[in-house]
Amino acid sequence: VRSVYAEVDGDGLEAYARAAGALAGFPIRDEWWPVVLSNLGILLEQANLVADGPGADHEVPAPVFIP
Amino acid sequence: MKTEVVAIADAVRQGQRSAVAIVEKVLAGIEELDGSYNCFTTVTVQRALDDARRVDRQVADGLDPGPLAGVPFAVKNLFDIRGTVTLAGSIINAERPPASSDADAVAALAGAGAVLVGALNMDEYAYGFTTENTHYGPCRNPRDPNRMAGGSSGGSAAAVAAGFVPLTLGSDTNGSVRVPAALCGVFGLKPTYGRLSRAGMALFAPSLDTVGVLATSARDLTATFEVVSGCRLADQAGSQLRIAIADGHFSTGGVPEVFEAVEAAAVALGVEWRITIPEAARARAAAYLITASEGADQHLRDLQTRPEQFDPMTRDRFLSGALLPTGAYLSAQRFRRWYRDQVQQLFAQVDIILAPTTPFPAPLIGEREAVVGQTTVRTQPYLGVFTQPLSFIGLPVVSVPVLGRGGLPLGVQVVAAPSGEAKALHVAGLLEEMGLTMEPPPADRWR
Repeated sequence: VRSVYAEVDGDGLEAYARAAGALAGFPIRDEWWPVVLSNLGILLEQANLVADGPGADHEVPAPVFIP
Repeated sequence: MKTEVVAIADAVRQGQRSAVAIVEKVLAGIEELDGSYNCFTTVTVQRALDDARRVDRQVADGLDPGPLAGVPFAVKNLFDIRGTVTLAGSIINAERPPASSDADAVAALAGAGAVLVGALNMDEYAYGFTTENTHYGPCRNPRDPNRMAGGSSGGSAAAVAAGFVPLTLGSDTNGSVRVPAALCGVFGLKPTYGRLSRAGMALFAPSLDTVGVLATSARDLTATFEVVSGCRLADQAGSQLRIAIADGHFSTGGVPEVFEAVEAAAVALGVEWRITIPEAARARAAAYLITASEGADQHLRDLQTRPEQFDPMTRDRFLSGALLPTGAYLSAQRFRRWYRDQVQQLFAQVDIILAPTTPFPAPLIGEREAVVGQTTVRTQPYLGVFTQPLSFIGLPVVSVPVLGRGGLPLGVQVVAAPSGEAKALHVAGLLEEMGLTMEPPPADRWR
C-alpha cells in the first residue's frame, strides 16, 4: 500500500488547506470551510485509492517531439 | 426506426413543409411551456426566424439547404452563439461581451440547414450532474417535473424530452450528456475524445471534455454526428459484432432495475458473455481527481477575486480542487496511461460493451443523499459512478433510453472502442428497432 495522504479528515488536512488557500490568495469565508474541507478530504481519499493501484511506473503523457 | 430530424429535413428539402412554420411552432411551444421546465436561458427568436426564412428561400430557389434543413435545435449555454453571451451556467460570464462567432459545432449544424432556437440551462461551468443551477434555477425533468433533469447538460436533455426541439448539443466530461439523457429518457451520444471540434465551447476539464449530441433516436444521433464530424458512418459498423455485458464495477452499486435494464438489452441482442473492465472504480477515482484539478485551473483568477459570485455548490468543488496537491493529479495521469492500455487490449476481444448509465433513476430535486443497497451515497457525484470510468479514457458511448420498472427512464450505455461511434450507434439502433427503448417524447411542437 502506497497511500500518500495520511490524514484526510483531521487537523493536518485543515492546517494544510488553510495554508495552501492563503498562499494561493483564495478569500475563503469561514462558513465555506466545512464543505471545502469535506470535499478535499474526499479527493485525498480518491488520491490514496489511485496511489495504491497499478500504473505508478507509467509515464505522465508528455507533449514532446520524439526524434 | 423513428427519425424526427431526418423526417423534418426530408420534408423541408422537398418543399412539403416550411422551415418558418416549423420554427414558429417551436418558438410558441417554448414560450408557452418552458416556464414549467426551465430548459432555456436564451431564446434566439430573431435568428431562428431569419435562418428559417433563408432555408425556405433556398428551397424555393431550387437549392439544397443541407441535410438538416429546417431542423430546430438548441445548445447548452457553454457553446458560443454569435451575438449572445456564453454564460456556461454562470453569472460571472454574463459580464463578458457577446460571442463574435458560432462555436464550430453550432456552425456545422447551421451550415447544414438546422435552425438554432436558443441556449440551454446547465450546471455552472459544467461541474455537476443535476442542473440545479443556483443562478438560473433548477431544470426540471419533463418525465416528472419534481425530479432532476440530470446534468450538466440538463437543459439539453430536458428540451428534447419536453418535445421542444428534436435535437440539442451538450458536452460530456464525466457523463454530462449520458446522465441527463438517461434520467430524461432520450438518446445521448458522447463521441470519442477529440473527434468533434471544441472550438467555441467553454471548457471544464480539458483532457476530458467532448461535444455531445442528444436526440430522440439513434438515427438522428447518427445524422447529426455525421454533420458535425464531417464523416459518413454508413457501412462502418461491420457485421457480427462481439458484444459483452460489463460485470464487476458495472454490475453492483446501483438499484436492481438499472441492471435489469442492461440484462433486458443483452437478452434482446442474444448476449450472455460478461467481461471485466479492470480497475474501473479506481478509474472513476482518477477521473474525479483530474476533473477537480483541471476544473479549478480554469477559474483560479475568479476564485481569488470574486468567489462569492460562483454558484455555492461549484465554488466549493473548485476551491477543493485548487487545493489538491499536484502529486494526486500526476498519479491519476499515470494510472490513466495504464488503464488506457488495459482497456485497449480488452477491445481486441470485444466490439461493444453494455453497462448501466446511472445507478438509479432521476432523484427528486434537492435530494442530497440516496440509498443503494445498504449504503447511503451523495446523490450528485454518485450519478457518475458508471459513466466516469468510460469517459476517463475518451471512449465513445451511446446512452439508450429504456423505461425502468418504476415508471421512470433509465439508460443503457453502449460502449465502443475509440472511433467506434458507428458500432455503438448501430447497436443503439438495433435496440430501438426491437422496441426495447423508451417511447420518444411528444413531437407535436415540430410536426
